[in-house]
Amino acid sequence: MSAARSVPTSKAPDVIAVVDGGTAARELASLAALKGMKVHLLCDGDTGPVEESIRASLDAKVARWTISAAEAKSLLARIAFHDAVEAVDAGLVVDFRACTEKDGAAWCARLDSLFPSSAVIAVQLGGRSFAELAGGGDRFAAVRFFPPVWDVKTVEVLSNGVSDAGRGTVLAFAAKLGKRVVPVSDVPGAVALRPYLALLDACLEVAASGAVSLDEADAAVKEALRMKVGPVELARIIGPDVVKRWCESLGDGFGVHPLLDELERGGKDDERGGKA
Amino acid sequence: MKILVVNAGSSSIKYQLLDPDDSGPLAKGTLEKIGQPGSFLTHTVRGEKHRLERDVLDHSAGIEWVLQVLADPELGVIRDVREIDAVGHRMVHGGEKFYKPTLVTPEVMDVLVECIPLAPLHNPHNIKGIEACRRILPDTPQVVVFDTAFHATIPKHAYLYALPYDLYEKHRFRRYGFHGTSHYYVSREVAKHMGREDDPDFRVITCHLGNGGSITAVKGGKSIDTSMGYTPVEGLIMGTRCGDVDPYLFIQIMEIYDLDTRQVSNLMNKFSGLLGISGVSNDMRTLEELMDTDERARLAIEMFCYRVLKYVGAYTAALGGLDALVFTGGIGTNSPLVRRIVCSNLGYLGLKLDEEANERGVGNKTLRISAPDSKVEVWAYLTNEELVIAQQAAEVVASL
Repeated sequence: MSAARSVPTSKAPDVIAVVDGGTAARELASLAALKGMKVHLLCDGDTGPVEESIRASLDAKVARWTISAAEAKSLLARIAFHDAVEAVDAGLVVDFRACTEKDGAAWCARLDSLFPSSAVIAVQLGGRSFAELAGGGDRFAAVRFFPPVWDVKTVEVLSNGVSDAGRGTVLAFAAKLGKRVVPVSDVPGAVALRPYLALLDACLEVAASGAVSLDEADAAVKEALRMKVGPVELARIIGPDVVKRWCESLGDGFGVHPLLDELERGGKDDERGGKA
Repeated sequence: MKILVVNAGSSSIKYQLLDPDDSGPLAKGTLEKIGQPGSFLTHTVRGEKHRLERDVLDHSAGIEWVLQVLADPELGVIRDVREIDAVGHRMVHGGEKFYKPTLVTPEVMDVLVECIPLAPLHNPHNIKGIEACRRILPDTPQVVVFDTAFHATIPKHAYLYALPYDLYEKHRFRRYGFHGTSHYYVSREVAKHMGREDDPDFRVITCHLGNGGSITAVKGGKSIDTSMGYTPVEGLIMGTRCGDVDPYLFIQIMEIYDLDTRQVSNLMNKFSGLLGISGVSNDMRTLEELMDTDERARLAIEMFCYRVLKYVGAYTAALGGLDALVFTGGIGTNSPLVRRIVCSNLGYLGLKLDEEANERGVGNKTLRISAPDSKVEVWAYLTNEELVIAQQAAEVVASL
């Protein structure tokens, strides 16, 4: 990991665009709106289910005293739903799509041509590298939000190979969200994703060997490592389909364990991710 | 003398320009939505309210705009900002470091920053207001007045919590109390009305009842106990705060619902109190309207009044008797019902309410509402925290 570079201080944008209608994108859009930002949520297709998902998620947050009903109402009013990925006037575009596209670089090139040149484009890396997706773009930055995006208090931000302006805007944005920035270099899946997937794989393997049931393995790891949730439970929360995608994009050493397929069949709550 | 009183919040600045020898402000207003789209200023001068709009990036730009408006030929009340003799800043928490109004110096600023952890939701924004004024009015004295300062006289046996003493020594975990400026003002004014401002034995209980609420026992002009504690959550039932609750209950709730500290903080600060009990509103006016048809609205009012009553009883014992009971704050000066319920149980002190006067005590008026033969005088008293801040700032400046 490299040390954080000094970057010019930037102001957090008042208006952002979030690309994709998946769980992580919806969570980030809601959190940014809670912090007072105007958010364009750019989905590809019918926005009804996306809006419905956000409403349900906010209702659950109100029920668990995370936010008040008034806060939920006002933040929802700050989100504009778009049924296409289209140009909008925003200071920052956070893209959750490139990391799932076969040709992520082509997707980033499309974003580059679509949005006004004044907008910074931050790409969610997932299990992929920035060099592979958008390396060299002079207004691009790279982030790695870990799900559940609303709750996890850190965000990994690439500290080299990105533009200073882009990184400065992302740092100001992260501060406004109340997230602690972990500066990282361009290693796919670094930091949190790699150890998490290794731990999950170990749990799945020990269960597959018949030594212990999957839930008992999860409970033992959770307690012994003093985690808030076990790795298997977390996979269910995130969505096994998302976890599988991470494994596939990371490749060597991070193959998809057969039990992960079973988890996916057993616990799919959401087409585009888990319960988060 | 002209004193600008500034109360800076996270995205707002409230201000008043006052002559400390006169109770009414020359001009006052609130700047809202600082750092957000659609910032606006509501400015009241010569009885007229004006709404002005302009994007305001930060507190510095906000103070600059406020000063421009105050010196504006049409909307203003001064010709030049140099006419402002001092700026008095409200600061929520001064901890154990500040127990009186203090002139701001670079050294004081450093200590104010050290106090941020005591009130992380308020102090940083109060400091932003001070920094902005120091930048724009570098030659004008800045005085900081603390909500906690009036309670600095509370004795140790009353301000300590019965936790391991190390925790107090290491972290200064103790009762600090809030609303000090308001409790000070109404207790002082009532003592004056009763001709007892210099009486060291004068015993008054002040009930500051608004969306946030606290009760203070004052003897001889000094606070000897107050209901809010290390934070404003302790004590009375408030609009959305729970007040006193067995602390172990929060551990249970956190375990049952798997909550983090932020959620449980929201639970006790934003979802509880009148709102939590009634399920309808945190606004006493709404609950009073509903109380005949909504059982939980009535229950919320009963619980609210009962908690006030318990504190009045406890503080009467702490004071060794009672000479005056004062109601202030939005509910205190506008709810005859709350005052009547509380006072109806205090007959054992010889307290008698003047029912007709009590009913007239609405609309933020100041008046005595006890019967002439009552052994305890009862007042509905309009508080004026800005005036106190202006007066205390003027005293500091005069002593330079």
